[in-house]
Amino acid sequence: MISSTVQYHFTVLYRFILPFLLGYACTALLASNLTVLFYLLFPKAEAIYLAAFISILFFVSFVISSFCIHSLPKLSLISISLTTGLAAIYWIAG
Amino acid sequence: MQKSIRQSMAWLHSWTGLIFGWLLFAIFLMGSLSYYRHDISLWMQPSLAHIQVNQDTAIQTAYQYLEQHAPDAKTWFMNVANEQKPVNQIYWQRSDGAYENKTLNPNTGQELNLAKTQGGDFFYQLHFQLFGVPILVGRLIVSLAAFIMLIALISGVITHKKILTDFFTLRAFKGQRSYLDFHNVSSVIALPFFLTITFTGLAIFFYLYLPWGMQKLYPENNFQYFEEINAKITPKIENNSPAQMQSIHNLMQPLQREWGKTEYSTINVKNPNTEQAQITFTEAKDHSITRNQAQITLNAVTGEKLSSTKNDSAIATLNAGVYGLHMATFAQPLLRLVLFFSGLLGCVMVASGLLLWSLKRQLQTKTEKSHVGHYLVQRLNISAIIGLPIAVLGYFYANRIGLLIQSSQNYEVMSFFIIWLSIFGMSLCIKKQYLWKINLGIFIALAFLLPIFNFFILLQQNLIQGLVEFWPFFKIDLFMIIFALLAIFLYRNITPIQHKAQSRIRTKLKIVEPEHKEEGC
Repeated sequence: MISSTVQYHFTVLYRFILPFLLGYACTALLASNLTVLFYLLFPKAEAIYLAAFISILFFVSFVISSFCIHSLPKLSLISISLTTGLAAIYWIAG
Repeated sequence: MQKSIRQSMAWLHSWTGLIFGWLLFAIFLMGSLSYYRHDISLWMQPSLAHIQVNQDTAIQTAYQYLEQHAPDAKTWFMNVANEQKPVNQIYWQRSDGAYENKTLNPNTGQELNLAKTQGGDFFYQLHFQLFGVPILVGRLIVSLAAFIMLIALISGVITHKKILTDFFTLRAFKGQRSYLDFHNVSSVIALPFFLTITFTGLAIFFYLYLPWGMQKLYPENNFQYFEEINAKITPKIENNSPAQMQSIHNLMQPLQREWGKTEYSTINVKNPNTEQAQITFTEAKDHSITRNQAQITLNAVTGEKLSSTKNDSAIATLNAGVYGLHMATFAQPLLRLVLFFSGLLGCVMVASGLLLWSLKRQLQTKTEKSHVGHYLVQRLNISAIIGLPIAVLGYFYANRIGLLIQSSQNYEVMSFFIIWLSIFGMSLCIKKQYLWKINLGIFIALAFLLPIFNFFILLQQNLIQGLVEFWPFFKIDLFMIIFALLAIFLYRNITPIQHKAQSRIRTKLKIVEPEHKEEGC
């Protein structure tokens, strides 16, 4: 009984931490990557603003959709893959 | 976890809403008051209300002051006095890079040592950077709260199965359903406002929580970003030698030809008293969301008209639009009033959500034993929902008491927090059934007494001579009377909601108790 309650609390905590923290990491990486990409098309200030604008929308969508996925392993896998992918682009793009 | 998406969203909505609910209530209330922050500042500095502003004189005196006191500055910036803010506010960047500012009498150009009140700016700053914490931390907390708000709004919309039916359903003063209906109606009425204001607030502060783009493209000076998003890049001036600028009277001639008789908002001078001196006049009239006031830039030495330096690219306009939408500088009196009440609807939405959460948990309890968590949530609810408006009233009273005792110290902000804390302390000691009545009673008494107290203090201090001069102050007092009347309405009707909820809890407990006994057997 106690162990299931503790497990439930851990599940809830994990479900909160994953979207918010990993979502923030993804958003930060996306903002950096988009800034580099948009700088090819726009002046510096415009590139920064547009990248941040899109990234805010991304973060909100990430959190909302994280709560729509019921399976925690599936959610973890998707989130970590996305973060790794964005980190790889960031590393390549410099 | 929850089985359906709607259930998951309801869960996310209720928990995120509870965690940041009290903070969001305060942010919404302070934001709503900020729409009238200049009026509040004027109310709190009654000596300024008598100043008659003539903008030509105001510009002349401010310009002369800067010529005398900051001839070698890098930039001058003047907020020209107007009816709402009847003082000149000037800023300049010294040659060593430091900034200075002064407030001047618009008619004489003399420095004003105003009462040390923060006026409406206190509410404005509390709205976006809180108080008592470093500015950066405060702004980050507010940004996080705004994210939570945006998530709670979207999840709240998804939770609704019948958003249209719910909009037309208001079972007022009928227990738990009343809180839910108030929550639904207030949310749906101003939903576009909530979404806009939350998103724009977040976008304004992006540089705090997503600074990497700025760090990457402006490694030497991150804040160069702000200059470039607002103005076109101009080549750096080399070997700028001193030169005599034209008089302000001469510089204003082409403006009067082009704009006729108009009101000015700001005047900005770059590189004053040099060959490259540029002066930019901005008109006060602005009906655009994108802060696209008319501007004229002149060479301050020759008087020649220069091309606009404003960055008018699509993305820069988007940035200006986001800022303009949040600050509502375009809003004329009626629209400002609508925005003010939309902000208050945000308070109603958060408050009814918090009360609903608390009541639901009480209904779910299976024993009559008091629960510390529920006890605390109820007290925090009342301290936020009624305690904060009482603290706001306390802030106004502290200002007038300060006038009365002619104190050199300012105790307004301290009074605000002491009163708020006292309400929380008092609520911890009061029984649940008296919580609302006592706190609402205090609010009603203070709100009704404020106009009378204000009138007598102003009369006693010779700041007004009669009722006609009292009108500019009474505009704020009138709002207090309206809110006192609303509070009376709530005072009379809060009891039926509580009674119905209590009877439901009792009925439920009676049903549960025999079941427990049977289980025990």
